[in-house]
Amino acid sequence: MSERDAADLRDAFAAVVDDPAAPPMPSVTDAAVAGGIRIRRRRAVVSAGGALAVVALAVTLAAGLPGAGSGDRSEPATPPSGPPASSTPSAPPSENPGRSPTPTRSVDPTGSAAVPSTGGARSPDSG
Amino acid sequence: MREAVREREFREFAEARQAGLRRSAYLLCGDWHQAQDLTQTTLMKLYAAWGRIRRDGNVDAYARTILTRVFIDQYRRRTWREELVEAVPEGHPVAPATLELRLVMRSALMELPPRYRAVLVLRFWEDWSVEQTAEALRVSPGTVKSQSARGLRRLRELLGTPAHEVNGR
Repeated sequence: MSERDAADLRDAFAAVVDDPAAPPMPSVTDAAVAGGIRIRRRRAVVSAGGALAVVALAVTLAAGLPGAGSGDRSEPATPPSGPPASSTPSAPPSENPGRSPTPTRSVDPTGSAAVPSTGGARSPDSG
Repeated sequence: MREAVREREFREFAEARQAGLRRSAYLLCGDWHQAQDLTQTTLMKLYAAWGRIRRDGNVDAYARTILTRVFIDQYRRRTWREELVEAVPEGHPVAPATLELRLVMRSALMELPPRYRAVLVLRFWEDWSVEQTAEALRVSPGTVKSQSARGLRRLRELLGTPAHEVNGR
């Protein structure tokens, strides 16, 4: 755009704003000051509220952390992974835990009669 | 005490500049009452940040930037507050040729999209550079250049048409 065009446009803008029919307008300074003070107060309230919310969130997070409030706890919070190691193998669970142990026979390698190792039950051979 | 000084400084600025701001606002919106609203909102926002703006310097440029952004925001949200006037003020008698030129130009300007209008007003009425305009409108300098060119072309098309057609839209 040439300088001339820019000047023409500026003149045209001037013609628009130099409007003798423009209504007389009162000053807006008082209203602007009052509104500006309102905006500043609102901003102050919002920023104070935001700061409070941040503090509340921090306190909540601190209280909810694992280990918070039990400083003398010596055990680890989580159990060790993997199966528990034991020194003695545990006995398999019996099918009928209410009954007495079933007699077992020990077999003599020489082929003689078997002798029940526990009493209470007689061998069918014993007569 | 500091608050009193701050308010006094602002009042001096506002009294001296509000007529100019209102004229720029009128070019943007095409209505004196809306221009008055825009000026008040602009000065209100300016006063809310007066301390910082005063320290940074170039208060005039800040005021123009706020005005343009407020105009675009309000136009986008269409939240103009309608005010009833008791009586239509009577102006001075105007020569028909001047009146026609004013009406034609104003109508053509209002035909442009608000962003184009804002670019043209800042570039050619406020005499801002492309970079200043881009910063005020939060767009790239390339966008300012293209919107400026398109706005001027459209304005020429509108002004090239007979006045009664432009006014009749």
